[in-house]
Amino acid sequence: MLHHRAVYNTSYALLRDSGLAEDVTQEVFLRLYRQLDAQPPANEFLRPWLLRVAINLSHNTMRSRTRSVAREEEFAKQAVGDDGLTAPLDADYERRTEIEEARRALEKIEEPMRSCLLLKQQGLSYREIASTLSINETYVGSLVARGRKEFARVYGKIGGRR
Amino acid sequence: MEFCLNQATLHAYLDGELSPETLNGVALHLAACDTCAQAAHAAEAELAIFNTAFAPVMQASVPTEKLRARLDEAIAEMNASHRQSATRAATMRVRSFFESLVASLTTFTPRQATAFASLLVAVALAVVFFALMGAPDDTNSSKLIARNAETPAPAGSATRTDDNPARGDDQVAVQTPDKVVNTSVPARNDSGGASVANRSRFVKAAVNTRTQVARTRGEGGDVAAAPASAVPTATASEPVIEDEKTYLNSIASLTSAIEAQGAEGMTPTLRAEYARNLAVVNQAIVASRVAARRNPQDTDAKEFLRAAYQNKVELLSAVADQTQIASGRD
Repeated sequence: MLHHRAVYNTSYALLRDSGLAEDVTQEVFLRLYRQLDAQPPANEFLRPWLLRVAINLSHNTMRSRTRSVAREEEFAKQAVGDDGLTAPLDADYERRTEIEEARRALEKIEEPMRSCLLLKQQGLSYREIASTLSINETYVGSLVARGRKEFARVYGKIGGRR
Repeated sequence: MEFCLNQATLHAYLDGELSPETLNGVALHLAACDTCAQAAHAAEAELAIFNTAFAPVMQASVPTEKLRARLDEAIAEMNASHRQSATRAATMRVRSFFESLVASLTTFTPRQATAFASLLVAVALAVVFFALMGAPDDTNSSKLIARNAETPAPAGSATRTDDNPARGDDQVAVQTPDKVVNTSVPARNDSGGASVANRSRFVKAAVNTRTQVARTRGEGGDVAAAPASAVPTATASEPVIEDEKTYLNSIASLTSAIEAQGAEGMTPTLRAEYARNLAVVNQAIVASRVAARRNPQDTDAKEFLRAAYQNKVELLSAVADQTQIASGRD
């Protein structure tokens, strides 16, 4: 997977807003560009470095966002539908609904389990996840296991497919 | 594997994160343990739920071209702003430098004022020093002027300046007696550094020779026309050399002795020679004295003045001897 896809997907998964995800992705690579002159990350640590910056920037953005949350939550309500019958049922709408449910479930997962799940979903190994989140590698398996269990529980409650 | 597997090991097993040794042990245990096998199935279901839930996210189209364009534009803006900020920073540095310079010039602290005053004093001392260093050149030119203005060429020395045209200007003013010697004694050592004694001996010999030659030629002269008392020492206000007074006393006593013998005791030739040599020696004394007074630090000038006095003393002594001998004969 290309780095920019991993960065964008991670940011998008956390922010639930394509515009904000683009902003974060742009800022991540700008920081990498500035870092090239000083002390660029080694190739083997490039993806962990990019995703760590993406997660941090996404968290910062989540704290300050207002309008995007309201807009996405309004969309989610419409997607699910108050009566379950009023929402349009085209394929694109269904796909966007699934994405939104997954993000809402992920939002319920506490850190650092959430980041572990995201990073594992982006193809990082346990060692890379440990490097990205600055945690002990032996804890990564446990965090991943607890995160998946919690996600399944929350996702089931929200109504996601099993 | 004797013990049942924990959740972390099960998910690591599903993620392919176990080492080959651990992987074999886990696989054997799962094959033998129903509890762990069920737990493994549950973990696999949780992983499937997550993957299924995020499959649309992973498959979502990423605006690659849009991201690329945005990134290129942002990098271009960043570089432009860096250039502007660098230019602005350079301008600010130059401006702050000039401002600090102006501020330092307008606000003098006592320490800065002291340093500036010290600098001015040092510059003034340097100017005075270089002015003094250039003084000898002025003295030399003054010597020339003095020689030309104050030393009229005596009648008998019309050709003397041509005898040694290569001599320096410093020496010309005090070489008159030597040149007299040269015309009379060609074998004399002509070096300017000849000792005073040698010079006196040569002068004495010259005077004697000239006196004898003049006597045989029978030429006339007037001693009174050039009296020995008409020495330029009359213009001297203070001694230039330490033993000048001694020389003057000797000259006065010799002159009085010659005058006591009377001009009559001398032949006309002797009188003429005496008058001419006396004029030459007097000119030498005047010239060397002027040079010595203008530059008191010049030891050579003092030496030449002393030699001129010595020459005059020798001349007067020789003349006195001649007059005594003449008067004795008479």
